[in-house]
Amino acid sequence: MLHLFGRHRHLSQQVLNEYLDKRLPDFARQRAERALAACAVCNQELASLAAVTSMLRQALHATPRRSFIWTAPPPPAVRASLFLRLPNWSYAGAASLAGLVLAVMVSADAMGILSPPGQAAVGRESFMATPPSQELTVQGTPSPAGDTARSMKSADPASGSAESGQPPQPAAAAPTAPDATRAPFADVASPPSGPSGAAPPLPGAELTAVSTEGAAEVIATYDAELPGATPVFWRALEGAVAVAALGFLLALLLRRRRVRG
Amino acid sequence: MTTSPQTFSCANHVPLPVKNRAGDNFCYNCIIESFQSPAYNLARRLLGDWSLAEDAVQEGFVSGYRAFAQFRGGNLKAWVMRIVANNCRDMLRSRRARPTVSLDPVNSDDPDDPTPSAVDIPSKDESPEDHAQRSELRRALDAGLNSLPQEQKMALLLVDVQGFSYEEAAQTMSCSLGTVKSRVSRGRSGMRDFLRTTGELLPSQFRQDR
Repeated sequence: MLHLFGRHRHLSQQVLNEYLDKRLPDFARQRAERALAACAVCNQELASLAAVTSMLRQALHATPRRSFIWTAPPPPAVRASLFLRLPNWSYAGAASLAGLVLAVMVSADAMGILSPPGQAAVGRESFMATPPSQELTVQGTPSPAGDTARSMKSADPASGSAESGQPPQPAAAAPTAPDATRAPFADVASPPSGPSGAAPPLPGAELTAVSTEGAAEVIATYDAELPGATPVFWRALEGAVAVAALGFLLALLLRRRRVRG
Repeated sequence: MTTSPQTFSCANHVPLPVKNRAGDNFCYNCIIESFQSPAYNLARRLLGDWSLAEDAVQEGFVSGYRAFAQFRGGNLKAWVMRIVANNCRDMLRSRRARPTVSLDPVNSDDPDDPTPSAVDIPSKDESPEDHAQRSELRRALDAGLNSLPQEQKMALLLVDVQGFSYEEAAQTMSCSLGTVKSRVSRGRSGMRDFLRTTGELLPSQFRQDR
């Protein structure tokens, strides 16, 4: 009759399920029964759901192969060490954080941010890259190495030398005066200029001709004496952070291996 | 529903006294005896492997024993089943992370669904046809359950297979009553739709629409 007037709405799945499980209150159950009596579609839906329920209940019951009853209580739980109790992500996160801090510190060091304020941050690389034609004045206690560094005074004709009091010479004369360019390095290491008459090295190659011992002394003196050098504290901190990052990574790997084993 | 300690008897096992937070005394072996079958059924269907299910149930009972002093009372069955279900979830998660392949022969790992073979002793209760039909139906139901989302599958296992009330299922799954209702409803509809598309041996309700 309800179909004739087009007012019938099929029962929802949830209502059908609750009706099947006898969980509907009285008024809702009576209304559902009236709908089921009038609608074949709802009836079929209910029958299929009931078949699913009964099949699940009958067919899927498994019997355990053995009894789980104990003859003695189990031993008390052994509390795992903190190393094993911490989750993997804590180690991975700590290693990532340490790596990030290390990257920031190395970047800041390279940019000179870690140098004390008010002092020029001159890196070792810039010192090494300085062409020998420029004058580097190193202040500090006199030492043989310091003398060596001081001896790297340029014979740049444009700048001249204040100590020698020589007047500046024209720039065009620089390439044509190899003796003047080579002269300051003569006391550090004098390249053998044999009687074979080999061509004198170019001014840019003079520094590479210097012996490694002399270069090391120059760098050491620079590090010790220049006021703009990076403090040892930051270097030590960078090292510590790097060690921490590696340590966390190692702990993560060890923990994974231990848990897997 | 509160399971009282008086419902247990220690006739068939060693008494294993435990005390909950409220101070009530229980025998833990009685608890195991009462709930081992539903716990194994739940684990068996959730994990799909009887040996893993046995491990999950055993570990669940051990965990429950060690944590029994924290049990505040209430529905003991739901409490035990929740521990077992959580164990099964952990096992599923670890198995998903590190999948394993069984070395046992195919289809021989299910004691309640044995594949007929030459060494099988024929049962006097059912004919070979009935046995084959029942096995086919069980396989179809297993496949249907495995096609459902995990939560719907657990709701169906608790309510339809184990016969839990909606309230007990809600406590076991740690969710609200309405959530259980909707999961059961969707799970049954999903199972029905799955069975409609498969199986010649299914009841007539599922073959009418084909």
